[in-house]
Amino acid sequence: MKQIIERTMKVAYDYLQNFGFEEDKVEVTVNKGIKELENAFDKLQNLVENMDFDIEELDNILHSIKGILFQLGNANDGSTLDTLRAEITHENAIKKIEEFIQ
Amino acid sequence: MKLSKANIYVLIKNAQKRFGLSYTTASELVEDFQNLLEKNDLKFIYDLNYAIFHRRNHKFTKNILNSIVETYVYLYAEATTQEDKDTVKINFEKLFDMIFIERCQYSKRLEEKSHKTQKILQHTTKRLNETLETQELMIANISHEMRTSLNAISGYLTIVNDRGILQGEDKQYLNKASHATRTLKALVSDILSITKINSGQLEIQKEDFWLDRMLLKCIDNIALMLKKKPKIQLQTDIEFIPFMVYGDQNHIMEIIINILSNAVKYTDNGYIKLKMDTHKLSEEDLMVNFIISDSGIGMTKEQVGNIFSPYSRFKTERQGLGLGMHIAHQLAKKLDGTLSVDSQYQSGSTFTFSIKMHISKKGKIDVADRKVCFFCEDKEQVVFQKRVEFLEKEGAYVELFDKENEFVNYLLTLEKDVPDFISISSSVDGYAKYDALIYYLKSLPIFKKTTFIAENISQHISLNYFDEVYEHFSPITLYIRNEHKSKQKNQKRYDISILAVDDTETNLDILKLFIAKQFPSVTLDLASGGYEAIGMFKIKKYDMVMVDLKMPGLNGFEVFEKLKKIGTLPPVYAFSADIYKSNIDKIEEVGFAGLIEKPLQPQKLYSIIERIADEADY
Repeated sequence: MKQIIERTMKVAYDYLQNFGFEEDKVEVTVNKGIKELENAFDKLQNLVENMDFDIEELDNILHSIKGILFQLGNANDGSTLDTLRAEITHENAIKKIEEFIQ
Repeated sequence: MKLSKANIYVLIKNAQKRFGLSYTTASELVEDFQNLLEKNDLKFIYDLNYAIFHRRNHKFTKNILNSIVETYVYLYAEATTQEDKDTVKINFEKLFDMIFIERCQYSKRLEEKSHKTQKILQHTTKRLNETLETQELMIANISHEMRTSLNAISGYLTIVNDRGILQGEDKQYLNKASHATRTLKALVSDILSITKINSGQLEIQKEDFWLDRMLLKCIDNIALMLKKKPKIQLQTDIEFIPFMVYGDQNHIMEIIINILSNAVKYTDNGYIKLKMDTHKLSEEDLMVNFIISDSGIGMTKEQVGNIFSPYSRFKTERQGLGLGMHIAHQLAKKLDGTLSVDSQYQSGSTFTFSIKMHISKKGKIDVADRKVCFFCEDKEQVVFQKRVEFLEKEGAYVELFDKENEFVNYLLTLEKDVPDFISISSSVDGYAKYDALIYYLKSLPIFKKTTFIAENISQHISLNYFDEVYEHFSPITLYIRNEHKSKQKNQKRYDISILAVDDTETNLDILKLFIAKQFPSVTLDLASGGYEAIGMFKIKKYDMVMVDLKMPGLNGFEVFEKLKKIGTLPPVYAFSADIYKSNIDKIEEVGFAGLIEKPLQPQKLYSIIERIADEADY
C-alpha cells in the first residue's frame, strides 16, 4: 500500500507538472488526492482483514481507488486494480487484493 | 679491552677516509668508540644512532654499516686474548642491537601503530561520511517536507486570495503571509539545490531550445523585481541570430536568473546589461558567453574572493542568505562551464558565464513569405529596426509603423494580405486602447489567422485580446514557421457552464484543474452525488454535464434518466474508468453524448468542450 501511494505521488507530480500546472496547485491537488487514496486503502484493508463484507461493497471501494489512481495519472496500478475487480468473484481474489495492497 | 696507539691511528685514518672527516673530528669519534669499549660509555652509539636518524640517507647508513663491520673484523683480529675478543664481540653486538635491531623493532612498532592509526582513521572517516550522508539526507528530506508544506500553505493562501473575501488590513496580512512563504520557499529550494549538488544527485537534463527564448524567459523572471526599482534600466544586447542548442536549459536559466536577480538586488539606479556572445567552435559546437553587468554597489577585493562561497552575503540588509551565487557557481561547474566575476567597489560588477553547447539540427530559420507588422511608438526603435533587418534578410515581408494614426488606418482599411503577426509596442494607455481594437479586429474574418503581440510592457496591465504578451521583447524565433503554434484556443472566451458529478473529490479536483487551465472562463459546478446533481440541474442551465457512472446512491445511468425527465438535456457525457464493451454499448444505448475516460485525456476533453462551446455559438 505504502509503495503504491509513493508511486502514485511521484507519478501524479510528474503528470501534473509536465502538463504545466503551477507547483502550488499541483501540491494541493496531489496532497488531497493522496489523502483520499489513503482513506480508500484503509477502508479496503479493513474490509479485507475483517472478511465481513459483500462483494458489491468491495467492488465499490476498488472502483473508487481505481478512479483516483487513474485521475492521478497512475494508469499502471489503476489497470492492475481493474483486472482484480474483473476477477472479484474468483476464489483467490482476496489473496490477490491483499498481495496488491501489501 | 684497551686499544693500542696503532689501533687508534688505524681507526682515525679509516674514519677520515670513509666519512671525509677532519683529523680532530675523527679523533673525537674514535675516542668515543674507545670509551664504549673500555668504559661501556654509550655516547658513541647514541651519536651514531642520531646521525643515521638525522641524515636519513641510505648511502650514509650503508657506509656506517661497512665501517662497523670492517672495524669489528680488524679489532677482532688484533685482539690477543679471548677476553678481548669477547669484549669486541659484545660491544659490537650491542652496537648492532642498538643501531639496527632496535631501529628495526622501532620501525615495526611504528608500522603497527601507523596501521592501527590508519584503521582508526578509516573507521572515523567511514563514520563521518555516514553521518554526513545521514545529515544530508535528513536535510534533503526535511527541506522536501518543508517545501511540500510550504507549497500547500502557498496554495491555500492563493485560494483565499482568489476568493477575494479579505479586505483592508486582513488582505495586507494575507499578502505578508504570501510574501513570507515565497521567501521561505526560495530558501528551502536553495538548500535542496545545494544538497543535490553536494550529494551528486543533480540530474543534467538536456533538451533542444532556442537561446533567445531562454534569455527572454530569464528576463521575464526578474520583471517583477525590476518593476520595484524603476530607476534601473535593463539593457539587452541579445544577438538576433537565433540558435537552437542542445543543453540543460533549466539549469542554465537558474544560473542566469541568479546572476540577474543579484544584479537587481545590488543595484538601486543605473543599468543592468545582459549580453550574449556566441562563437562557433565547429559545425556542431557553439561557445556561448552570457555577460551580465550592472552599475550597482560593486564589491571589494575580499568580497570578490568570497562571492562563490556559501553564505557570502555581505550586505545584510539585502534579502537572502547569499546561497544564490554559490549555487550558480556549483551549477556552472557541473555543466562544464565557467562562472567568473569582475567588480569595482562602488561602481558595479560583471559576471560572465561561459558554456559550450551543441548546435541543434532541429532549429531551422524559415520566415520566408511571412508578413509581419510592427508598431513602435517611439520606444526602443533600435531593437525593432534590428529585428526588421533580420526578418527581411531571411525573406519575410515586414512593415514598420511609428505613427499611431497611420497604423490604425492601415489596420482598419486592410482587405487582403493581412499580416501573420502584428506586434505592438506602445505607451501604457496605448495597450488598453489596442486591446479594445484587437477585440474588434478579431471579429473580422480576415484577421482570423493573425497573431497579435504586445511587447515591452513596462507596467502590469490586464490585456484580454492580445495573443502573446511580453514584458520585454518577443523572441525573434516567434516568427519562425512551425515554431509559433497557431493561436492558442484558450485565449478565446468560452463562457459556458459545465456540471460535473463524481463521488470522489480527487476526480473532481483534477477535472477542475485541467478545465480551468485551458478554459478559465468556463464555469464548472461540482456535485458529489446523483441527488445533489439533480438539485443543481433543476435550478441552473448547463451547457454540458459529465456524470460518473459508478456512484453510491444513484449511479450515472440513473442520474441520466432523472435528468432527462427534468427538461431539455444538454450533451451529457459519461465519466468513467470502466471502459468495457458492455458499458460503452449501454452508454450509447441510453443516449449519452459520449464517454470521457479516466485517466483523463485532456486534449480529448478540450476538443469536446470547444465543440460544445462552438455549437453554443460562442
